[in-house]
Amino acid sequence: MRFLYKTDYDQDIRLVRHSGYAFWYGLLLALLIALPWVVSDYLLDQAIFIGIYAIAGLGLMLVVGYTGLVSLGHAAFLGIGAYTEAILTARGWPFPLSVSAAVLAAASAGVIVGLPALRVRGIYLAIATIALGTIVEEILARWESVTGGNAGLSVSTPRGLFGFIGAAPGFYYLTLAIAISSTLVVLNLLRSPTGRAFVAVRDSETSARSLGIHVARTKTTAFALSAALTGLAGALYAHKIRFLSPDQFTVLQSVELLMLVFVGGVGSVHGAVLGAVFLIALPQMIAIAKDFLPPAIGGAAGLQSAVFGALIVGFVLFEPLGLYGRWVKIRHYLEMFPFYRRGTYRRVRVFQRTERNR
Amino acid sequence: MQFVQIVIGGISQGFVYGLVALGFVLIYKATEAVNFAQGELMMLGAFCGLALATWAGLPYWAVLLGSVAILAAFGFATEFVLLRPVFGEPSFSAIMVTIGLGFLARGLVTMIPGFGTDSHSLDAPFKGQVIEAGGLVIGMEHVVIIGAGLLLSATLYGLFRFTRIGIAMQAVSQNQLAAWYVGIPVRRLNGLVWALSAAVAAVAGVLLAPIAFIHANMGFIGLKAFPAAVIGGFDSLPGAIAGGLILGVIEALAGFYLPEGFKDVAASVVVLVVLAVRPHGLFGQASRKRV
Amino acid sequence: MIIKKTLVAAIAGLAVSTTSGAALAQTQGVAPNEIVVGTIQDLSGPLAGASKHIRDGLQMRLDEANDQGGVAGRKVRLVVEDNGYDPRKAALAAQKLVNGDKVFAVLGHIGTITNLAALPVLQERGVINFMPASGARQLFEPADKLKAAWLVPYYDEMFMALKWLAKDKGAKKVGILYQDDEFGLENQRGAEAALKAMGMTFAESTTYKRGATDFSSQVAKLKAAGCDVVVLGTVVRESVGVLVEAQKIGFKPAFLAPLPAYHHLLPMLSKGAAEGLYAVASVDYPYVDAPGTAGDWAKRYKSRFSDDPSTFAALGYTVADLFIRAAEKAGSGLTADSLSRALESGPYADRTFGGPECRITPTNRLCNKTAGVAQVQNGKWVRVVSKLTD
Repeated sequence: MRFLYKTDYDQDIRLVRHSGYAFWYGLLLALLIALPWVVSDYLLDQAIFIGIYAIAGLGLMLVVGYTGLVSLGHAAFLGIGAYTEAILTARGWPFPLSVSAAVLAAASAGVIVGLPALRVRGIYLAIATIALGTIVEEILARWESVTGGNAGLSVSTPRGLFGFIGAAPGFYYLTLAIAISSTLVVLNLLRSPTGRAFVAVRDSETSARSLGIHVARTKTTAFALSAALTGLAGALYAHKIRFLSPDQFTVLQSVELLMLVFVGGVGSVHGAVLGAVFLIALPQMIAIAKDFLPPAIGGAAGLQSAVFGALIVGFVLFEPLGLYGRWVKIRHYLEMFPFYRRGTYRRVRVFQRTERNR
Repeated sequence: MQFVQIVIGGISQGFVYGLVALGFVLIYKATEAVNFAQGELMMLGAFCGLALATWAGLPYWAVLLGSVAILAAFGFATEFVLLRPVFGEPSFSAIMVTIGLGFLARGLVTMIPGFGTDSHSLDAPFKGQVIEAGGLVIGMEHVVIIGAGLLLSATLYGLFRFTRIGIAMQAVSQNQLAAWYVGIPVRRLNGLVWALSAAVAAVAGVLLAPIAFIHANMGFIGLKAFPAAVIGGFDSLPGAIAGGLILGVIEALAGFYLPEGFKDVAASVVVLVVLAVRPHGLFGQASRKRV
Repeated sequence: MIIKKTLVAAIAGLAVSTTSGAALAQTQGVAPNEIVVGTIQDLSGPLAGASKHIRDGLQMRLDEANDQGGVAGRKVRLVVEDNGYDPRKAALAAQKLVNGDKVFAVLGHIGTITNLAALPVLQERGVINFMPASGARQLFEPADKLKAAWLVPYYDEMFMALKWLAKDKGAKKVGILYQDDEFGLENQRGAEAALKAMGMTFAESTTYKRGATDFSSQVAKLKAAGCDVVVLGTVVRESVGVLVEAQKIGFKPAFLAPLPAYHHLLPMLSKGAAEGLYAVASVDYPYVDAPGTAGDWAKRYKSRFSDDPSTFAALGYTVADLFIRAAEKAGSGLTADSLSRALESGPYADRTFGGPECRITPTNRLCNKTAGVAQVQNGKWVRVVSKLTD
């Protein structure tokens, strides 16, 4: 067990709480940097996708986990970021400029999508985001002169980065750098007044308002930042996948992102990364496990959907705090051994009261 | 004349959306949870009907009743297995469970050997018949759907308004603890609501089968029924039908008179307009967040 | 001096390792007694039905070859991966096949965007993308020894088919109803080009979103425009929906559907509304009671898989058949180069389904550029014209 003796407010909000953090995260960083030499191309490819989806997951986590707003239209931001990046790279813009433009475009869209959030909440907000996501997808399909419409758009390698980013290890390091910086930005944001405002709005809007927090502005900021992060992920996604089409950014992709956030652990930054690992690694693990199953099951169509669904249901029933929640429990057990009490994490059940008022 | 025919087509399609939306609204009205798997329940109902028709060789109306019964039992069982454990947890968990259920149902049905990946048709005695009046045409399948939609929504509205069980359901949705104190068996009622909603989904599935064919992805119509429920107001049963109607008619008109692509975004645009003007839907109740 | 020598040795070593790496990549998947091939199908998405048939058709032919001793003494093993019609999953599946299972070739990969996402992965490792189940132009142009394509692009098929049909019917007003995605768009462009070549344009043009079940407004629009030929850019279910709607409102033009609608389910599901429908067809439909080799094959397929075969199953079988024959010609020294040369030494005739032959050259990687048209007569598909060309 570790006892932290704090004498300073800054120690409370430090990102690196104690030397244990520094050690383990430092080790992780070293492993990530050494990855291209340690694993095969195939695993490196997956690592790149995990990085991209972790950034997108961070974006969605900001809005769903920390501000409590349900968004089922985040694939639209992914798409806007991806298409902006693809179009500008084709016009010869250097990478830093095109990525900034992609992020700005996604953020502006985020402000627009956030507008319904100011008036409606709960399921109505979810439907509004689905509607806006559908509209964005339709615009991408119709605006043929710019986006190539349904025929799709191919993406060339990023420019203006000394030319070596196209190859796998280079792109991996780029993704890693952007993912790490995004994580640091989000962590810093969450300990700043803006981040705390997000959490306040999530817990109780009326209380937040009475504390002087401008709720409308907070929600809009949350959506804008979330969209910006997801747009950034979209820009990287465009270069990785090399061929874009509007039907890569439908409601199904938004649901996948939501699953990522939920399985990883709602309300934690680790959750975004763990969720990304889950989303990318799962199809591969199913593919490997398939060979051990009887052919009638392993070769059947629809196996992936069924396993996905079963896992989500399993997580909700047995581990609603997600992968990160499970890790926290394990870590707590190890830290408190042998004084661990199961009641620490017993789920609190509240009787539900209606949100409607007659 | 052309205009009226288009509107008739829109009304027919609108009632399809409305039937599916009824299921959504039913569950929301009683438990304030959203069932994202409603489309998949409809798909299961349709496949149930197909199984009864092909293997048991039952006639159409027996098939309808059979699938309703089977799906009602399935709905009750689903609530028991999946939703009781998440009783009392934030509603996000319930939403995720239903999303997971949807994936699971779709995957399992697709996995059925030889059967799951194909499209199938279900023979109805009224299939192919049309009613013609003064140059206007409407298919009999659509007339049956319209009839079923009106009947179901009237029955359910009456149930919620005038019967003890209905009032008990409303009480449960307003304040669970108080309902318990008053002696209402809250959990059993939730199971009942799910059974009802699954039964409505089965009716929608079996009636839709002659038009849209039975296949594992037919549940995606649920995505269209959502806006219908929202437009009508998520806690209003007649609102579900009304919302579906409005949506269907607007889509049909947009498809005919507006340029390409507007038919598909019509649903989204209408939803946004309604939410901007009346955030709780046309017939819904206003909500206020408590501190 | 020593540093310079070490530098030179290191650079030379690097050069050797990269070239030998390339040489190794060429023979990956080929062992003394086994050839490993892969296929990427959509087993959990919208094309699951077609993918199942393609996979079964591939497996059937490869098993037949293995039963007769394999290819030049090597048994062929098929590894199946799922792309779920998602380019991300397709890229990862390709990575698994190429770097994990180390396949020699990828056969019959389904889906256009999925193929385009997976192609760079295969090209980097010198793995052939053999006869994918997609007509995308990038899969055979620009010509490359790692590309070989069987399916004619929808654009060209629709171009040839519509030109023939419009002339046959003396069409004055041609309308179109197509799916609002890249598949539908390709059909629309081919049809548009055909009309342009005849000095016409569309009298009416309508679309629908994939998965739609209601076509009343689109069909009403086409009827209002008085079309006598309607091009459909639809797949099976949507075609049936359109035909039933047209029958309901008494609209009777000649309908022309693309290749994916050429399926036995279509007349079955539409119950008479599809009578007279035309569709692009490259082979005679492999009904179980068809005469000749096609019927025999269909009976074998049905007894093995308990399912009526479709043209997708025939496609899988044909692709595997071409692979086996070319690999046998390449002999024991099987590499990507030798397989490509064996293909070029064709042409390879279609011995089972009466389809077109495969003629590949170093500059033309598309087997054939012909199309045929079939019509629903008495509830069954009958081919009415074959070997249409530009």
